[in-house]
Amino acid sequence: MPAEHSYFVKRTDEQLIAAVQDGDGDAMGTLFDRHHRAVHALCVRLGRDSDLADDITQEVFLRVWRYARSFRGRSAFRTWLYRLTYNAFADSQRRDARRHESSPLESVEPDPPTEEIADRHVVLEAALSKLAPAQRAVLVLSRYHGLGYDEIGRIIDCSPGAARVRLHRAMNELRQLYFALEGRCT
Amino acid sequence: VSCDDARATLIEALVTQRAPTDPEVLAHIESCPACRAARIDYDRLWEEMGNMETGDPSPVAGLRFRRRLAAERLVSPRRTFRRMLPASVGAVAAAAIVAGLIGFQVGTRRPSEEAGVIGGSRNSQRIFLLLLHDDSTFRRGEPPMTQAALVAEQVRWVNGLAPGTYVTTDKLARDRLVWLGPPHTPVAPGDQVDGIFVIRAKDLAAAQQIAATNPHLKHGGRIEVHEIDRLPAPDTGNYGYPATGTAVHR
Repeated sequence: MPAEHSYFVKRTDEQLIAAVQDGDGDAMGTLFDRHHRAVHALCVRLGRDSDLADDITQEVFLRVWRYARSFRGRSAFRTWLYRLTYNAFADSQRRDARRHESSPLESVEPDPPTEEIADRHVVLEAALSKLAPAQRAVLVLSRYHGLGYDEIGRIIDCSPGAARVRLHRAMNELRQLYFALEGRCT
Repeated sequence: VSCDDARATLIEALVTQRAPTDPEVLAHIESCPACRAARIDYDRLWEEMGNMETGDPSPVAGLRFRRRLAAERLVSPRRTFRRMLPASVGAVAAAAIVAGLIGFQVGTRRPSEEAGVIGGSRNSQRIFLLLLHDDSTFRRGEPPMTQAALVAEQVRWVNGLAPGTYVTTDKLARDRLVWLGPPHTPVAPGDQVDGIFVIRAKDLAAAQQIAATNPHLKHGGRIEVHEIDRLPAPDTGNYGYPATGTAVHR
């Protein structure tokens, strides 16, 4: 491992992004190494398969490089990074939606086969996929990434109170969807 | 306490990992079968969400990103560079010789209308690498010059380039240099590359003309000018071949 690498690893995210703002590519690489797994996992949990999540992850970190100067330190770097991730994910969904509009036959999503629904994880994934993107996002950010309502609100662009309400609604909707799907296959 | 209030409390308990303590809420849940069922469901959903696997990112994700970043830096370089001197720079006194290459404080001003502008235009899309060498003869016989003065020379040179000519510059760390392969035979005793510039120019001859104005030459330094191929679109898997032309200035 190069000496510079171990040197950068010891620096905080905020120090690294300051270096990136100065055009430091090594610092950018260190930020990628440090956070790309979390960004990838967030993309998968928001509803992308692993390959697409890889693509979005690349896009997210290129945005970090391009827009580094817009990071003012008003929130933690991680919060800003997740906001870029959420936006990149939403962009990718919009692209998909446009593609499906132009080829309506492909837009019909068949219900999961009954035998697959027997798998609880598949049921859960199917139920999560039926939630509105913002509802799914609040659940994922809270459950998997341990974020509070302040940070979630910054990421999905709403107040902490609205984030809280969305999470409660998401849990109740998920409950209904999950047990409806589970009931259908038993 | 309503059922909605009680269920909101149950969800908050999951989020905060703290069991509900409000006696009224607890009494409601105890007496309400629907809320007791909701509690069981919430707990189960929360636990199952925790068991969902996401898989690993691609093992070549880091390599792929660094290639894309390199392409990005060529296509849209930073317009300004702040000074980036490591705290320990004072210990590396020898690096002061071409310290002008260490973190140039290049302004955003591009005086395209001023007289004496050197270089091509923003439409000049070919990319050239300037390697600034020096050896034991560098600045020999010259009066002492401060590091700041050397930096200022290079900054003036960059600011005098035509818009779009300058792409980037970087220092090359002398204390982190490794050679691989057969023994290296330098062009002159002590020959080494101290820094680089990347510039845009119409062709190799134009790049040579631009390089010829760099103040490094007047101190006896040598500049090696390479045309470098543009990186193709990312993800094609083909990253092209190196230089198509080379010239050495002295």
